Amino acid sequence: MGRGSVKRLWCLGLCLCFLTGCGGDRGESATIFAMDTVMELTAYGDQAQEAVNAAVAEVNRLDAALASRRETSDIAKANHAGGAPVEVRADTAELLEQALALCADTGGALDVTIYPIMRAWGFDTKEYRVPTQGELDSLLERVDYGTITIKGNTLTVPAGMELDLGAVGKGYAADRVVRLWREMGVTSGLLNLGGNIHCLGAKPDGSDWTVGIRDPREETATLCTVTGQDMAVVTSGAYQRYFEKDGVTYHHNMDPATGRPAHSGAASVSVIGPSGLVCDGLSTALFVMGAEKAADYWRSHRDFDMVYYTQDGALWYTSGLEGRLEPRDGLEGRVLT
Amino acid sequence: MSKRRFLTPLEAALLVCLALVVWLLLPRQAGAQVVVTRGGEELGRYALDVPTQVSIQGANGFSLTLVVEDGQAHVEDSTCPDLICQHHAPVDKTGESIICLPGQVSITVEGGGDLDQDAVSG
Repeated sequence: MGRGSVKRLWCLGLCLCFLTGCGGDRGESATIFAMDTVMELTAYGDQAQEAVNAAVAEVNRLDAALASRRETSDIAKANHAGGAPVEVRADTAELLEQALALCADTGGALDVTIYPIMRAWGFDTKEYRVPTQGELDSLLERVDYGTITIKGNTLTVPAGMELDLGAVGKGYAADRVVRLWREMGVTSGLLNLGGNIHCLGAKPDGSDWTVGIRDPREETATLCTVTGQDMAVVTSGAYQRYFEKDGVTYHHNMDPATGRPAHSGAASVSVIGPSGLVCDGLSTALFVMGAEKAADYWRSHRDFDMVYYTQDGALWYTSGLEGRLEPRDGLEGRVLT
Repeated sequence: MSKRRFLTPLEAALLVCLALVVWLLLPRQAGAQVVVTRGGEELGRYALDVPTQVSIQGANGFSLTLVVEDGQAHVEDSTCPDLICQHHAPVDKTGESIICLPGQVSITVEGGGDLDQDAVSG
């Protein structure tokens, strides 16, 4: 066999390897239970295992710092300090600054002091009940994000008020993991933190990620898919936590103005953007606002995208998703401009 | 003058051998199965084409029964307070999962039919 033949064989062999995927990117995953939900963390590349291990440690560390129900957490300490200032970790302070800014920017549709109301309805213990209007009116006096102060790493929660970061904690955790992975040189990864999706970079083959958005009425069906890279996709829906009493369904997306489940006409709201925390907080706030105010909010910001599905079965999405959003068969979406 | 063929019989035979080796070394997808974990720790794997019933001891004293039949897996009953796992539709596509939060149990399909998405938000 001549030298030319050997060369040809090498070329053909290499082609075979490429075609069959020899040396493809390695992916590693971990499934953990943290922040009251199940999380799946997947990283790709040579450092995948180290990246996943580091991500698990980071999420568990944040959970310990942020969980309002853990007595040793920063948040529980501040909640129980009787109004005295409490020193918190730098990342707790960072999260609170971002969360309080979002509360203000949404005009209080997101309020991180809603916890007394959530507890009155039994969403903390799952011992559900319908509070009286008098009880809610009294508790609403203890709901006001504007009374919380964070200066440097010093957090003050006035006596009687309570912080809970359930509406933004998972989004912030995703931001932290993505930041950590970037520092480690990881270029491709996928986080599913209890339905909060965060895609780092592109898929290992360089293509866009495809994220489905759940149909609120059917748990194994999707309303649409959204493609992209380096994006968070977070959804708030009336179906996620709810209970029924006397034929009435009560969901967990509380309107801070009334202390009752928001009756905004939304069945689910998904927010797509670069920041997990912003997407997390906005999905709650835009759900509470209702379609008209949510559209106004988007028009005045335009630094995120939104998929709005109404209880009437109408699907709206913002213009940044044109060409990236594919409604499921039989469902027509309308573009918001 | 005779034309040089692209491959001699010997080269062709070697190429076939090379292709065979590559094919044998390829990562192979097993038949569809569900992977059961508790608190992130794997408890077992069950083929979807083998009807079976498995009692799973979850965390916090909760237990549930996994049933595999007709190529799908579902939770037949659970002692947890939510019963979300019990009410979840049967799963059979890669990436689909049934989660019992109180028992910290996840039941995830691997090697089944492909979903057309990488993750689902909701």
